Parts: sequence; C-alpha cells; structure tokens
Amino acid sequence: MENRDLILKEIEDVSPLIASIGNRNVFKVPEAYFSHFLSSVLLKICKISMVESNKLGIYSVPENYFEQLPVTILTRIKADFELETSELLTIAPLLNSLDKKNVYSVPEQYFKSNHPIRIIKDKNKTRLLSFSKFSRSIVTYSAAAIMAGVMVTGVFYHPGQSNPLDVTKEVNNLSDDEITGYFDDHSVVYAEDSSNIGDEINVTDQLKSLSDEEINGYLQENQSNMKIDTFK
Amino acid sequence: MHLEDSELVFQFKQPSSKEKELAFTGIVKKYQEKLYWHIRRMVVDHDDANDVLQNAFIKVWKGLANFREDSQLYTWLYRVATNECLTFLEQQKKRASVSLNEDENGLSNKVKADENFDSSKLEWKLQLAIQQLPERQRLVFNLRYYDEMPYEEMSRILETSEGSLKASYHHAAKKIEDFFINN
Repeated sequence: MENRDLILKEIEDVSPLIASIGNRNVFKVPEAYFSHFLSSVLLKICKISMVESNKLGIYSVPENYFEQLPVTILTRIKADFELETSELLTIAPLLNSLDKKNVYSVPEQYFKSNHPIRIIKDKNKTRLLSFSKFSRSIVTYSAAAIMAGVMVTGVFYHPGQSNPLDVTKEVNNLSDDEITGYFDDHSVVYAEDSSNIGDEINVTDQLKSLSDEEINGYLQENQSNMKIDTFK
Repeated sequence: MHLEDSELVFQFKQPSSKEKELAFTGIVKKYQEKLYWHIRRMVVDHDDANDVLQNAFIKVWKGLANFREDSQLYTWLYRVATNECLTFLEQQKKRASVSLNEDENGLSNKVKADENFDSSKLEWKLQLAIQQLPERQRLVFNLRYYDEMPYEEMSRILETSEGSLKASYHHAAKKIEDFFINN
C-alpha cells in the first residue's frame, strides 16, 4: 500500500472536511463470517461441479471419440474434396485442368487504405427518397388524367378520321367573288408557291411539247368538269 | 506458512485436485477480507456482498487455470471482484426499472437500514455521501480512501489512465464535500 500519510495529505488538499472524518470502517460482518467463508465457497463450487457433471452425464460418447474426432473430420474433408474434383473431371476435363488462380487484381494498398473515408464518401451520396403510398397514388391518377385528356382532344381536333371533308363539294358551294377575294388575300402565298412549283416543273413548256391531238384527247376525257376552248 | 502469489498460482495449475484445492484455500484465506470490504462498500448490504464475493471466488476457481500472469494475482482478483460488483449493481438497476421502483436512492436506503447506522456520526454521513456518487467515482474513491491503493495499481484494475483516476478522485471528494454542506 502507498504511504498512508501521502493519501491523507492528498485528501487534506482536496477536502479537509473528509480528511477530518477519517477512513474508519463503519460496516460490520456477522461473527465468524470469514472463518466459515471458505467452506461455504467450496461447498458452492462442489454443487456447481456436480450440476455440470450431471448435465454431461445424461449422454455418453463412444470410447476415444474426442481423440479421433480431428482425424475423422479431416478424412471427411478430404473425401469431399476428391468427390468435387472427380465430378468436374467427368463434366469438364479442360476446366478441371485449369488453375483456380484469381485473375483479378485490386489497386495497390486497396485493403490497407483508409476504408472509413470511403464509407463516409459513400454516405455523402444523394439519398434516395422512396415514394410514399400517397405520392404513388397521386402520380398514378395524374398519368391517367393526362392520357384521358389526350384521347378526348384527339377525337375533337382530328376530324379527318371520323368526318372526311369533301373539298370539291365545298369549293363548288363558294361564289366566284368569294374565291376571287380569297386569292386576292393570299396572292403572295400563292405567288410564292407557284414560283416554287415553277422551279421544279415548267407547265407552259410541258404543254408546248404536247401535240393538239393529245390535248384534245385529254380535254374530251375531262369535259364533264371543265370547259376550255383552247390553250393556244 | 504463507505461499507467495506466484507459488499459489503454480500449485493451482497442478493436475492433482488436492493441490488445486490447497492453493485455492490459500488464495481465499489471503484475500477474502480485502475483497469482501471492497465489495461491501460498493453494494452496502452484507448478504449482497457475500453473494458477490462467493461468485467472484467461483470465477477465480474456474478461470485461474487460464490466468496468464501478465498482471499480479492481487490485481486480477480485484478486477474479478470489481466486475462482479458492477454486474450485480447493473442487475439491481434493471430489476428496479422493471418493477417501476424509484430506486435511485436504493444504496442510501441500504446504508440507513444497517443495524449500526447512526445519522449523527460523520462516518455514516460520509457513507451516505459516497452512495450518491456515480459508480466509477465511487469505486475510485473507495479504492483510494479506504483501501489506500496506489493510482498505478488502480489503473491496472480499472483499465483507466492514472490522470483520469486522479481527476475522478478529486471530483468525488468535491461532490462529497458538497453533500456535507447541503445536507
């Protein structure tokens, strides 16, 4: 034990009040407690040993079981290995002849590197937020509403499929003044359009190359729709 | 004739069960009182101290064959006893929380329940003050103040640095002083 005076001085420095009380023991033990303690401990140890031996005593193992166990296990491991090898030899002799050496490599010092940093980096990645049941139902219903809107709009704004427009009939219903007025309003567009066409096919030149018989034949075929005396 | 600790350990490790029992008897006789008081100051009640001490020596019986003698036998025995104490106190806390008892003052109540308790005496008031301390501080204060143990030895038992132990002792003493002032 360390010098009692040193400990007393230490407690006097910290708390003179405690030092003044002293370290006298206030607790007491029953009479002859320590003289009987050993026998009570030994008795308890004996009881525990008996319980433990009884636990083991229910079952028995064959003679020399534990001595032979390592050899038995090793024999079993060896037999399993040989079975595996012979199986592969039968299925794929070429594969069996190959060395099982690992062909992959890792960067130098990979396993000695500071893994916690890598883990922290991984933790800093963007978190994935899961759709809640409520959000999923909103998205589902929104998608259904959009699809319904597209289908309804298609029906009303794409009439060519259900109501084909008879252009010839509609034009025949128009008066000459309406047609003339229309062309006056869109003259620029048509001039541009006709000039574009003219670049590609010169109709006048084409007509000049036709003979009068060919033109008359064409007019007779389409006489019901047109009445033109002559082009030339 | 008293054998040295190393001789007791050597004798215990002999194959003969008679030798083993002789060595164990020597160890119990040599250390039972020291360990008892160390435990008693922590758990307060004699019956609890008796249980903990017996369990500690049973652990010694079971574990001494594997004791590597990296530390002294005395240090190892104190460590076993301290661990048993802490385990016992932990179990008591769990039992108290399960039974929904407000058992924070359980140890103080045990001090007051002692047949020799005398509230007018400063020694008993000191015991009440010690029971208010956290377990670690209580251990350090008892080992230093009552067992007069060097910090170096204490450091090996509690596996804590000497500086930390000195600080704990200082804090414990100050808290005890505050208890005296306020009570």
